[in-house]
Amino acid sequence: MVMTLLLASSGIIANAAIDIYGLFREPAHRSLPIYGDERLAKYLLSTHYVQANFDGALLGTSVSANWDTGRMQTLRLYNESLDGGNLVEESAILDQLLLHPTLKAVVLVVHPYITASHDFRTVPLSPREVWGALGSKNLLDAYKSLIKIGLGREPQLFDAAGSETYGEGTKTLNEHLRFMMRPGAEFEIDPIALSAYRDVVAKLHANRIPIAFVIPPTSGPIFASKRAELEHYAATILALRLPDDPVLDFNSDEFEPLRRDLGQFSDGVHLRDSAAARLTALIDDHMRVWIAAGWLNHK
Amino acid sequence: MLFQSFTFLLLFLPIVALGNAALRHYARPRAAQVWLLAASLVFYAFPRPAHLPLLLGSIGFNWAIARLMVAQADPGRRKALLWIGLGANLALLASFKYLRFFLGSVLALPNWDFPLGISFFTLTQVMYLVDCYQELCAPISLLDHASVVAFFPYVSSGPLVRAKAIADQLQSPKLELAARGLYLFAIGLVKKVVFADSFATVANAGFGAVRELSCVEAWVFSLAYTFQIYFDFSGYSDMAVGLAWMLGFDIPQNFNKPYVSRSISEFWQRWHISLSSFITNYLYTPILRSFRKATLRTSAIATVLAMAIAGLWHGPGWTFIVFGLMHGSALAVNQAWKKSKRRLAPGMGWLLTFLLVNSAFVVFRSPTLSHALTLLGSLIPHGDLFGTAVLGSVIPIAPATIFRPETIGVVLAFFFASSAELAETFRPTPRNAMATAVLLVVSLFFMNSTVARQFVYFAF
Repeated sequence: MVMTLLLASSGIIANAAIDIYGLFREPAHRSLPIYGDERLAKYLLSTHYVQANFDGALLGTSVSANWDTGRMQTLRLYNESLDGGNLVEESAILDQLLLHPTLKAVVLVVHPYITASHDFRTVPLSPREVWGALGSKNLLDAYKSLIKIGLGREPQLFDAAGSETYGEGTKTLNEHLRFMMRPGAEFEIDPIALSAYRDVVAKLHANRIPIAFVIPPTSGPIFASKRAELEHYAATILALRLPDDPVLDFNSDEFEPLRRDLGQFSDGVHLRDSAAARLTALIDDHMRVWIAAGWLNHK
Repeated sequence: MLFQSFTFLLLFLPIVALGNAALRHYARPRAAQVWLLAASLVFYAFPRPAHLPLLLGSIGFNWAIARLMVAQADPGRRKALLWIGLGANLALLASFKYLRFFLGSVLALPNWDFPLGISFFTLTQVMYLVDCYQELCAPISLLDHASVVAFFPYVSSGPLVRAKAIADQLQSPKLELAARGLYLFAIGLVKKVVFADSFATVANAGFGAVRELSCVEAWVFSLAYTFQIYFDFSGYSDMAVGLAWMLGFDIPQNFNKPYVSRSISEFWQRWHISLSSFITNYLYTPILRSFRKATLRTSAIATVLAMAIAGLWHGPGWTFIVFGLMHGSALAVNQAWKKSKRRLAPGMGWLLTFLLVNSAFVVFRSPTLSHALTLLGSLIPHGDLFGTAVLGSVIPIAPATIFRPETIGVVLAFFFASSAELAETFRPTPRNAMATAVLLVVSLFFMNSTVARQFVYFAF
């Protein structure tokens, strides 16, 4: 029993000292990229690390996962977007963020994918995962990923602000999005995910954290065939906002040139990294205007 | 409370074991016995306190019946009391387990919660009543009877232990078994949390999609369950036996490498040994005796009947009855084959046994017979032979798969020493202490990675 305790405690101490999720040591001024499971990492990093190093967070899906939010000038946002993510998962992440509600603002992405399902895709994100950071299979996977990246055998896909690298290549739109974006069909809204969206907005308002809604751009041909459905969907979600919550709609006429340029998109829905950087700069510009108009004081 | 929970491992077990050792050392044995009984009742009541009166009532009733029966000089009345006792136990079991199955379609019956360990503590007391009736053991005090029946290492899922075997040790437990017990417990814990849970993930995916499986997948998923239930239940049994040893009580092993068996009768001498012993002594033998003459035919009938009852004991469902009938029929054929003195080619006995066991577990695991037939049908090569769509969703089809717990588990089940053999050769050396520590730490690591699941046998 003594040996067991010694072995177990040495493992726990080592993992707490390495602390890849910023849970056990002072997280301020640390730079912690994502290793292992993206969802779990973002969930755990949102316990202390995000609050200690960022002004706010962006909640979204793969559509916004490569937005370069860490470089924004007005407010540095941590990109909590998840590949194939939904609002139930994002809501769990928000619950972690609200354990220490010091964020100045949160940006919510308005895209039909985020309310299309409500499952936890990999790990059920629950507070017990914090214990897993002291020693678990997920932590082992994260270490494996860290070593492979360190040895150059695996690319570092995520930066310390949670943003993912998609690259500049062309891809085929994935099966789910292709189905979702088929012409003539309304977007299916999962009632549990919609309820989670409502809860997220309510929780942020209750914690007096300003919200902005961003509708990501959809490339010209897809937008043309789904315009009515996209607008109907946006109206459904934006009905949850308060009048003071600003909205930035990249599907509006103002951004028509961006949508028309298919070279900005890797697959018609996701932006290439260079385009994502430009889009992030545009969000940054709008934030500056909102802040000047007193957005951060709308509590 | 699950053995593989942090509450049990880090709180309950250390407190109980240290308290037991201290009371054995500094106080009278009776104090330690009371301590263990109290701990057992806390263990039992922890998940569902409302079920504790049922256990206590069953203990009190069986203790009283045994006393009355033994005090009765008239053989007829003795027998009547035995039948009252057996009838009451079966009625208790039936009311929670079988009433809805048999009468649910006719009567509007309440859906009662299934009390933890009811199948096991009922059978333990059936054995006690029969043993008292046959004068194989003398009736014991209420405290002893309660201590024996409610003993937390086996109250929830066995092994089935004869009352006399434990009662004789109550005043003089062997605390020198503690180190060996911890070692065996650690082996059982690894079997459960590392291997059984890994196999469970694979098996669940396959049994949840039986209509989509290729032939290869059907084999992989059926084998995954066959190994899951082995590691799950033998791991649980190792933990139970290990816990009893840690507290100074010597109870027999329940598994001994069942999948190397070369005949179905050998399988049942290696699989759930305490249940096999119960079936032989308390079902098969009385049924056989009820015939006027013991012949190969009557023996076959008794075997099939006893195994069908044993199948039904596992749960109220046709799949369990068919599971019992499959094993009973195979045992009957095996008896006839032995009698004919014919021999099988080397390896053929093992292959036939393993195929039967695997097929029977497909039925056992399936929610319905048609579900089982679909999967069994997929085991026969036809249509899609090599598809891996479902399998690929749970196991990466890559060379690294050989390092997964599932692959290692298969090798261990066939080629490694059994827990019984390992425990037998155990010596309290620094090397073995380190091995135990590593096993426990690996288990804690896996426990911290997955949500604790119920044991397969807790449902029975």
